[in-house]
Amino acid sequence: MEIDQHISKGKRIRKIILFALFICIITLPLLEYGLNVSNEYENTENRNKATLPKFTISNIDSFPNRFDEYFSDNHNFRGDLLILNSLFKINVLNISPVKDIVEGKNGWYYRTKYIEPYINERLFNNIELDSFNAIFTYRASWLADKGIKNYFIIVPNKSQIYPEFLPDRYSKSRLTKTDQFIKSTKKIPNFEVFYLKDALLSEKEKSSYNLYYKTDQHWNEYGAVVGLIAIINKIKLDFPELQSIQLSDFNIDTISVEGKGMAKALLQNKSIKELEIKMINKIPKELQYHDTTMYPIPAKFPYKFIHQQFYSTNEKNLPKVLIIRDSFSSILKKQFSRSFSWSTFFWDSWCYELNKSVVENEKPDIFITIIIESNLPYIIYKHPSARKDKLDVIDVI
Amino acid sequence: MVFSSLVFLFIFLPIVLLFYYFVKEKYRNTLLLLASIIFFAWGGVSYTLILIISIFTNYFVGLLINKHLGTKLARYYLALGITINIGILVIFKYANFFIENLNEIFVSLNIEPIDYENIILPIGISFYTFQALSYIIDVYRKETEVQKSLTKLALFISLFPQLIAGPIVRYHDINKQLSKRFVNFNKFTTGVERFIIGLGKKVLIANTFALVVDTIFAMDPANMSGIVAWLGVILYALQIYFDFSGYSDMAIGLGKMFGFDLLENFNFPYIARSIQEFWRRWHISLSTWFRDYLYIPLGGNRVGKHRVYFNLFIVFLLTGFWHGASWNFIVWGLFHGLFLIIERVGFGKFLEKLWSPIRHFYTLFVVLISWVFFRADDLPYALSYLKTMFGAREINSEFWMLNKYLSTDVTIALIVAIIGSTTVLLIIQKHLIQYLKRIISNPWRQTILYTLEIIAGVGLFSILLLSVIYLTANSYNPFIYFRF
Repeated sequence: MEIDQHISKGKRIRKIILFALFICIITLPLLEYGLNVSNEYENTENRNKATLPKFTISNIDSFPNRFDEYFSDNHNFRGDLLILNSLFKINVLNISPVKDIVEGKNGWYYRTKYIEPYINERLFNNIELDSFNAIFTYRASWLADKGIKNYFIIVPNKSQIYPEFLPDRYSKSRLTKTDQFIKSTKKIPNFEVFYLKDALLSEKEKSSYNLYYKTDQHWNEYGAVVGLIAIINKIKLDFPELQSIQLSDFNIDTISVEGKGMAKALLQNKSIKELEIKMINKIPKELQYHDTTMYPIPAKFPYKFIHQQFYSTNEKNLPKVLIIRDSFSSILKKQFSRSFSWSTFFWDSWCYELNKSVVENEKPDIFITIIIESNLPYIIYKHPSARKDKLDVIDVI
Repeated sequence: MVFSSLVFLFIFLPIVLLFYYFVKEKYRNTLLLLASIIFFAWGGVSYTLILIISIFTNYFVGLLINKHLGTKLARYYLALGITINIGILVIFKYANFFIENLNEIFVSLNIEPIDYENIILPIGISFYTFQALSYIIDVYRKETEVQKSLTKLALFISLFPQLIAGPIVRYHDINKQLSKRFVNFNKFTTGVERFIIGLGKKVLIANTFALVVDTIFAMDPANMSGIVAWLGVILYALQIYFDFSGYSDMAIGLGKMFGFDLLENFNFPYIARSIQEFWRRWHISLSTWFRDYLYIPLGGNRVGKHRVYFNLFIVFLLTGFWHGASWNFIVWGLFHGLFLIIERVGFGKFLEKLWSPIRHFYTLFVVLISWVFFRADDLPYALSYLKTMFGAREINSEFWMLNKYLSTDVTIALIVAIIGSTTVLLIIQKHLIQYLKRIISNPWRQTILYTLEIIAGVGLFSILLLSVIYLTANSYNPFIYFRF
């Protein structure tokens, strides 16, 4: 009897507290419109937040859905709750709060698409490999006819260079899409694939600096310069007039900065720090940037200001180069351009096409495609932003 | 609108609660009716018309049946009411299915197929139609008095806590509460606690499993290892239980906040030791509906054994069909019906003699197989998936393959779900109280009990807070590519 009284009294205390908290939680967002105590946060999303829909008879059926979207995007405590979500998932569950990001060990983060060799994803099938063959046979022959030297450079995914920081649940596949690609395109005349993995792994063994950011999918300036040295050495075999580059040509400076892209997406960029490595050329060559737009920019391309960039040096005896690139080339553009008389960087919405009209206009001596390895499928399927429809139709040439 | 949405939690619920407890008692039904209509309209304003037609039809049919009770006319009015209710269901839920299948036959016979436009399924139509049917049938059977107030009948059919996903409330269970119901602090907070538990079941457990289940069921079974296929269906079994029972918990909890006592819909179905017992524990309001309004009128158990088997066949054919207009659901229902018949033929008696864990294993095995039909997009996929589960593929099945799917959150949810699917916690609670009564001296006992209550309170609050955080995070679509 006595114990039942205690239970009943204890329950009552619990219920009073829970009642108060429940009422607080469900009413606070409405009360907040008057109180205005929540924090404001920078928008870190790749979309515009939904706006308050107008209620009219014509949108009577769609209004509720649109209002739901508006409220989800704009309720006053959203920013605070998203921070709590990040803190809880990272610190308590030890998982990433964002589906596209994998939290590795020792503060390393990976994007899901860049750990491809470590997840059980399907390899290229024969139709896809045949498509690559058809595409690059045609390109190599077309460029060779014009006397243009053709290089295809693959930048390895971060997980290829730093697999040791991936969570234990990821186990490496024996064969990767890149291996398949290299093997299947090996016999194409006038076409050679240069994979930077070995160069980067070799430097990783020797150096105390990281080659990739811990909180971003890209290589850092140090990794990019290591890649650049390997690329220049490769091209120099065909163009001996190119000047060699060495790591000793640079002073290295480091600075602790806010966490980069993935830390920001996790809303943890203030608490997670990144080491920025600055590669400062000891004797920089003079370089001119030509602020001009020569080629049409696709409407959907998000980085319009860097869709096409042109650099030149005063050394006119050096070759002209056209680089079809993605974000991995951004960090080495200037250092790279110092080795050529004229450099055009062209970002074709991650389609890595031949871009005939650009080639014909630029008349380069060298045509380079620099691609991050996880984007190889875009060569046949195109990047989603460049597809006309959602169908995965193989467009051979 | 769904309970596990921010608009419901942060706008609809506080406003309705505020008004409900501030208006005079005589206006509360009208307020709840208005709130229920808005709640329903949020899922498709145009479809509210169907709900309103259903309310008026059943109201007048009920009155007419009552007026002519004892005469043939009452029977005709009942038939009219049933025809209209089933007609609404057929048009809006099954028309696409019937026409699609007819067209397949027509095409095979080189006949021009029927040109039709897809009809979108209005939310909750199966639930409120069955509730309305129970009302007119009960009035005809004189098991309940006719409802003369249109507001009360409308509230019975459209009461928002159970409107779109049950439990299917029977009129005679709620009749008196429509006129007079009581709510005090204890009942209200019991409702709050139940609602929070349901919200947590849905948002923290079912939704966590849903991501993995969707990934696995999107894969081609021919390229899947058997162990992954088993993981997929086990997680789906837990997902559907925690999703559906979570919704019922929220409905019952909300009902209590507004003074209603709704009947339980689940009773730990996965601890059942036979398929017959499973159906006494799973979606109780639906199985009792079919028992009272179909199985018993067909003769129930009081007919020859072959007729009983036929009755079970019909009931489970329709149970499957009730869940969705597709062959998958029909096969799912018939699969359960088949095992019920097998148990009735004699296997049930054999089962009773077996060691309890074997009976549990048998029941779970049958139920898991049946969920493959329920979850798969179509029958060929389900059959291919079952092939993989039973090792018909030349793909290695090793435990490490599960690592990819069993992240910390999924593993924790899995442990909680397995424990929560059983009565383990209830048994621990019972033994703990007995232990405290026996062993601990008085002052300590009080402290321990208060501490346990506070832990329970903190636990419930954490579930609520985490659910709100998870719901908010669902809308977060970050921009990772910050570099440019």
